[in-house]
Amino acid sequence: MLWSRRQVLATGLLASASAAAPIRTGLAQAIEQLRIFVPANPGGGWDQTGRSMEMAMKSAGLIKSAQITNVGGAGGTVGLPQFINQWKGQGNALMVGGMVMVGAIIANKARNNLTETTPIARLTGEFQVVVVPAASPFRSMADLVAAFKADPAKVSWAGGSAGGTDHILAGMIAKAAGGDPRKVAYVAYSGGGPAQAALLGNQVSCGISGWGEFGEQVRAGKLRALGISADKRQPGIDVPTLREQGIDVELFNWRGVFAPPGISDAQRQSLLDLVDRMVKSPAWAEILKRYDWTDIYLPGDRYRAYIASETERIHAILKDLGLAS
Amino acid sequence: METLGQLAHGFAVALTPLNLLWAFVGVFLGTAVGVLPGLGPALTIALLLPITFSVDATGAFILFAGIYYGAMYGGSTTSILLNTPGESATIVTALEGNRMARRGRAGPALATAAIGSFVAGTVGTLGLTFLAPLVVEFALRFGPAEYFSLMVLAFVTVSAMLGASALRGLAALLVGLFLGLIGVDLQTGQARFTFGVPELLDGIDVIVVAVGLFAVGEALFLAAHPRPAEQAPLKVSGSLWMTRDDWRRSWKAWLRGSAIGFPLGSLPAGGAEVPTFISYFVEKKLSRRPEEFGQGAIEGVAGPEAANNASAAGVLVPMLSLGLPTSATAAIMLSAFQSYGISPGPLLFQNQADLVWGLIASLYIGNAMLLVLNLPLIGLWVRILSVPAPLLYAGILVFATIGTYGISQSPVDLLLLYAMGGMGYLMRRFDFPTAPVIIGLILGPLAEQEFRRAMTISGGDLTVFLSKPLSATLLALALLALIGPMLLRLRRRA
Amino acid sequence: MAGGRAFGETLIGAGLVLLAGLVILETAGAPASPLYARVGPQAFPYAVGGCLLLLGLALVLRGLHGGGRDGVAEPDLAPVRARPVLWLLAGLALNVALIGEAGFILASTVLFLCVARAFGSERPLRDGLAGLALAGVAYAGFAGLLGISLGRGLIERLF
Repeated sequence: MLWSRRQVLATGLLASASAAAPIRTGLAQAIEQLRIFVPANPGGGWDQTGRSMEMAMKSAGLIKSAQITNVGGAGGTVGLPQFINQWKGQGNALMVGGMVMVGAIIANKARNNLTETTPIARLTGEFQVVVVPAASPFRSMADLVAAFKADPAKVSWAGGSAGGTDHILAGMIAKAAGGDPRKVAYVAYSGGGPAQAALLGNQVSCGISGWGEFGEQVRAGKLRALGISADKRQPGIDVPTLREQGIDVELFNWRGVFAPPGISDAQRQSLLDLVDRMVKSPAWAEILKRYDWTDIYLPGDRYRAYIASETERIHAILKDLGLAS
Repeated sequence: METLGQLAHGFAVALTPLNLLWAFVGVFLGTAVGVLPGLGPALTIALLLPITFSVDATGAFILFAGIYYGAMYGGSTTSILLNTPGESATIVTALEGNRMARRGRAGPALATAAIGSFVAGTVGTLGLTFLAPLVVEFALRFGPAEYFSLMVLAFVTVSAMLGASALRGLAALLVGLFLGLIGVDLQTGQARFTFGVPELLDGIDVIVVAVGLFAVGEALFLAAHPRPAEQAPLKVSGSLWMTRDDWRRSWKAWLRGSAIGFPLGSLPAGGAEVPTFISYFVEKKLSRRPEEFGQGAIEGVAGPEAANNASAAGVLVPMLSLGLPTSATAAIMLSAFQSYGISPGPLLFQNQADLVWGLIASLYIGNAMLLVLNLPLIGLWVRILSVPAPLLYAGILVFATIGTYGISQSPVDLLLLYAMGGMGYLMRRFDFPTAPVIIGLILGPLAEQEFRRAMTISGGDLTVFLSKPLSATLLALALLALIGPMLLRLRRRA
Repeated sequence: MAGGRAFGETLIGAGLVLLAGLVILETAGAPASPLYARVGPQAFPYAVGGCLLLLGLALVLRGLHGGGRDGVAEPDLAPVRARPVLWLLAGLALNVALIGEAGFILASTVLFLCVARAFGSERPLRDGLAGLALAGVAYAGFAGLLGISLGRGLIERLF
C-alpha cells in the first residue's frame, strides 16, 4: 500500500508543480494564498461569486489556495468597515461586492464607502425583467406605463425589499416614463420567489426580479415578460429591452471585486493580472453559464470611474424614491 | 391517484443512501434530545441550522423532520422512567407511565408508548399526505388579505391555547412581536429599533432567540436553582413485552389518540400539549376501569403518546402548505426554508416536489426506524440520562456558540444571545412560557407585511379584509375562536 | 398571603411597561417615510407598544394584588446560588472576549471549563480536556466538513 500512496503523492506533486508554473512566470508578484472577503452570509450571490472565483482560480492553477471569510449583514455595510480598517494594506485580499452594496451604503447612511477601497474589476451582472401574470391585460411596457400614469394606485409592483435592485428599477421606469417614482405602489417581498406566488395568484399587477428568478415561469407561459433591463437583446430570450420600448433605462445587478486600501501599485497590478487571467479561463466561462451570469468584465481605472457614476445614479434614484436625502 | 404517484416519487428520493442516512441521523439525534430533559427539537434544529449553508435542502429537511419525530418518541422514555418530562408534549405520559414503571411495568409502558407513537405517527403522516395537497388547492387562491386574516386566526387560537395563564402567554407573545419589529422594514427600507447598531439592521435571528431562551436561559436557571437531588432513572425490569390484555387495552387508545392529535395539530393553533391532555381525559372517561387512572393505567400512556405524535404530523400541514408555523419547532423549520430562499406555501408543492414528497416519504421511513430504535435499543437511551450534568450543559453551551457565531462571526450576536438567555432565565424563574416568544417573532413580521401589502394593493381600502369571501370567513372563525370560549363560560355560570 | 408570591408578575409587568415606553418613544421619534405606503412603518410598532403597555399594567396590578385567580402560583424556589451563576457568567464573558483573537477552540474550552464548574464539577483537568476535545471535533466538523466559517485563532492557525 505504501507504494501506491507514494505514487499518488508523486503524481500529486507533479500536478501541483505544473499548475504552479504559470504563477512564477506570468505575474508581477505571485499570489499563492488568496484571501476572499465576502460581506454576506454563506449562500447568497456574493458568496457564490467568491466561491466560484476560488474554484476558477484553483482549476486554472493561478493560486494554491483561497480562504473565504464571511461577514454578513445589512447589504454588506457590516462587513465593509472591517475590510477597510482591518484588512488595510493586505496585497493578497479581495472583497466581493456590487450594486446592492452601493445602494445599501446610501440607504443605511453607512460611514464608509467603496471609494475607500481599491477597485479591481467588475465581473458579472444579472439583468432584471418586468413580468405580468399570464392573464394580465398588459401586453407591452407601453400598456403598463400608460396605466401607471393614469392612476398609480391601481398598478401594484411586486419585487424584493424596498430600496433594493427591483425597487430601484421600478423607480427608474416610473421616472423615465415621466411619472413620480414615489407614487409607485411597490409591494415588497423578501425575494423573487415569494413575489412569484403573488404574481401567479394574480394578486399584483406586475413584478420585477432578476431573470434567474422569473425565467422558468416565463418559459412555462405562466408569467409574461414585458421587458428586460439589459443593454441589448439576450441570446435565447425572446424579450425586448426596455430601451427598445422607449423607456431609457438600463440596469445590471452587477458584482465585482475590490482590494483593501493602502496596497502598493505592484500589489494592485498582480491582483489585476490574477483577476484578468481568471476571467479568461475556461473554468470561469463554465461558471458564468451555470449561473446565468452575464460577463460584463471591466477592470482597473474604468471600474473606479464606473463605481463613481453608478453611486451618483443610484443616489439620485433613491432620493427620488424618498429613501435617501 | 396523483398523490400516490407523487408519494412513490417521494420514496424514490427518500430511499437514496444519503437521504436514508440523514433520516437515520435525524431520528437518532431526535430520540437523544427527546430523552434529555431541557433539550427539545426546537433547540436542536436551531443549533443545526448552520448546516443549511452546505447541505442540500432535501437532506437538511429530512434530518430536521427526523429530529422532530424522534424527540416525540424520546420524550416519553424520560417521562416514564424519571417522572420528568423530556419534552413538554410528554407531561401527561409521566402521569400514568411513571406509575406503571414504579410497579415494575416499565417494559409494557415503554412498549405501548413506542408502538402507539409508531401507529399514530403513521396515521398522522397518512393524514399529512392526503390533507396537505387539499389545503394547497385552497391556498393557491390566497393573497395578502387572506394570509393576514389567517395570521389573525392563528394569533387568536395560539393565545387561546397558551395554557395556564393567558396573561403570561400574551406577554411572551408580545415580546416576540417586538423582537420581530427590529431591523430594516421590508416595505419602506426604514430602520426600526436598531439604535445605530449595523448588526441589528437585518433583524434578530430566530436562532439567537431560540438558543438564548432554551439553552442559555435553561443553563442559567439550573445553575441558580439546582433540582432537588437528582433521581436515578428507574430500572427497566421484567418483560418488555405487552400482555394480551395490554394490547387489547392499548390499540383503541392509540387510534383515538391519533384521531384527536392529528386534527388539533393541523389547526392553525397547533402545539402538542393540548391534544395530549384531551386524549388523557377521553381515555379516563371511556375506560371501564377509571379507578386505575393515577395508579398506572396503560390507556393513559397509549392515548396521549399517540396524540402527541399525530399532532406532530398535523403541525406539518399548515407549515408546508401555507407557510404558517404553529409551534416553536415549526417556526424554526420555517426559518430554515428561508435560509434556502425557499418559501413554504402552496407553490412549494409545485416548485419543490422532490423536497416535499421526499420529506413526507422520509417521515414514513423515519417512523419505522424509530420503532426499532426505541424498542430493542431502549437500554442505550436510558444510559444517556447518566451523562453528568456539568459535561452536558457545558457541551450545550459550546454548541450554542457555534449556532450563533457560525452565522455571522459577530460578537454582537453572542452578546444578543446572552441577553436572550437572561430574559429566558427570568421567564423560566417566574413561570412565563417561552415558546410564544418564538411564535411571535416569526408570525409577527409575516402578519405585518401581509397586512401592508394588502393595503398597498387595495389602495388603502380597509374593507378588502371583509369583501374577499375567503378572508372574511377566516376573520369570522377568528372572532368565533375569540368569543366562543367566553360565551361557554357565561353559559356555565348562568 | 399571596402578596409576596406574585413578585415576578410585578417585576416582569414593570419591565414590559418600560419596554412599551421605549417602543412608543422610539417610534414617535423616527422620521415618517415619504414612500408610497398606505400603512407606514410606524403603525405596527404603535400597536405593539400599546398592547405591551396594557399587558404590563395588567400584570403589575395583578402582581400587586397577589397574583391572578387562575391558580398559577410562582414556583417556590430556593434563593439564587451566587457562586455557580458567577462561574457561568464568567464563562460566557470570557467566551465573547476570547473568540475573536484567541479563536473558537480556545474560547470554547474556557467556556466549557467554567460551565462545568458552575454545575458543580471539581475536576478541572478532565473538564479542560473534554472541552478541548469537544471544541476541536466541533471545529473540524463545522468548519472542515460543513464549510462554516468560525474564524481562525491561535490553535486553528496551527493546522
